[in-house]
Amino acid sequence: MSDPTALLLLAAETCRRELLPELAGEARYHAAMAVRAMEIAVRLLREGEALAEHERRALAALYGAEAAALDLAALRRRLARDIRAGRFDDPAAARALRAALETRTACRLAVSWPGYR
Amino acid sequence: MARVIDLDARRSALEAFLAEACGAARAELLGWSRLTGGAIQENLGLDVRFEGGRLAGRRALVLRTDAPTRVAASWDRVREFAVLRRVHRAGVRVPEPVAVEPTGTVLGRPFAVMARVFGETRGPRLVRDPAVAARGAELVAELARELARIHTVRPPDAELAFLPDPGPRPALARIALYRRWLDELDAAEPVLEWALRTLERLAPHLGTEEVVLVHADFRTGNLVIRDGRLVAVLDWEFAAWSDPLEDVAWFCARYWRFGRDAMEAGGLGPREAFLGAYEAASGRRVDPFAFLWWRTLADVRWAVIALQQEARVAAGESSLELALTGHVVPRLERDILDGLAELEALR
Repeated sequence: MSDPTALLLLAAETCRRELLPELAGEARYHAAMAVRAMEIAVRLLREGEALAEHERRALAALYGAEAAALDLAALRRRLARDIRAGRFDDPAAARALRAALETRTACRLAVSWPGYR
Repeated sequence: MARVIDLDARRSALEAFLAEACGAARAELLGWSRLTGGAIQENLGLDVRFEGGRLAGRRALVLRTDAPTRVAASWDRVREFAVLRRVHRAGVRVPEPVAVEPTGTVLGRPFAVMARVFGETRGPRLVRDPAVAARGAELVAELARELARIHTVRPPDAELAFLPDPGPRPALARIALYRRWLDELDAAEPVLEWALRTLERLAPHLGTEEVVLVHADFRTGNLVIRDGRLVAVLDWEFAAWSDPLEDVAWFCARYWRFGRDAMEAGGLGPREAFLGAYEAASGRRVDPFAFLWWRTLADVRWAVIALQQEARVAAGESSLELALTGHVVPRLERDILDGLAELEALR
């Protein structure tokens, strides 16, 4: 097996199946955290890039063509600043923003906490 | 990481300090152990025999010190002890304050000592506890009355002079504070910014704001409960002057229900029982809009603190627990977006 993502997933599944039931107390708590961390890492490796691009497009759409090439960090920074300055206060802008933020949160939940609603 | 103080090496200094602080002829440390170590502080259990003095006899105590790194917003052990002493005098159920050592000469760092209380604090255990399930409504009413008692402490207060004055609009003071925290982290968080902006725009609908002593982390996890009854309220390090609804709403945030979502009061009991008892005990009316406003702000606050904890890992602290805390932010964003939609609909 040479696929590192598949290897990590197998490690997580093995810990969950074989290790967790044998543990109690603090040890179980720490092992459960380690399993969770591995599962997050697997999702990041598999979908992280696509989800980040999806989020980036949703945020860029709020600004039009000149923002189309900005990376996600730059967009987030600009958006955070503009929101605080009240540039999304009017109802139409707020509706568009809300839709973009829903997309962003869904993308991040898909990595951190899939199934949460 | 060398976090745990070795009390054996400092035994005689600690014994002398405790004896003097309690007016005892002698204090003997019979044993000690590390209790739950938080991300913010560490707690040691002490077994001490006092000869004479106000605690004469054998006592179970807790010694609290600061961890090497703290959440920015939390008070150190010395100031937390001042709050503990003040609320103890106000009749709030807390571990009895015993002594505080602010200079660091006894153990190498400042610490506070209080009585040890026994019971369960862990949220995941409590929300599945049959004794809690059997009297959930009574338990949350009991908690509400305790919260109302905390809120009887009002500024100005000479013992609590170190707590910052939020001005006449504590809601807006909180928004300004969380923006400052985001800026200190250099975090660009559009959902949190949108929430702060929307809450700021809606703040005029809050009605009258009050300023009282708030615990600011009053929730399942910081409450000692035994047989479905409150034993003590712990962890006063976030205490502040703020609007009482901040505490009421924080307790009801979804995150602190530990998966038992239907029990909106801390995963322990129904919201109506909690709010009803709070209204009766405090004489305040909990306005549904204001409650939801503060509950949404609670999610924002916890999200910013989670980002602060995640930043400690980026700064080099090796803690999986702190690293995973950053991954609760999307969950909180989900709850925040729902809360904002509900608020707009209520207006």
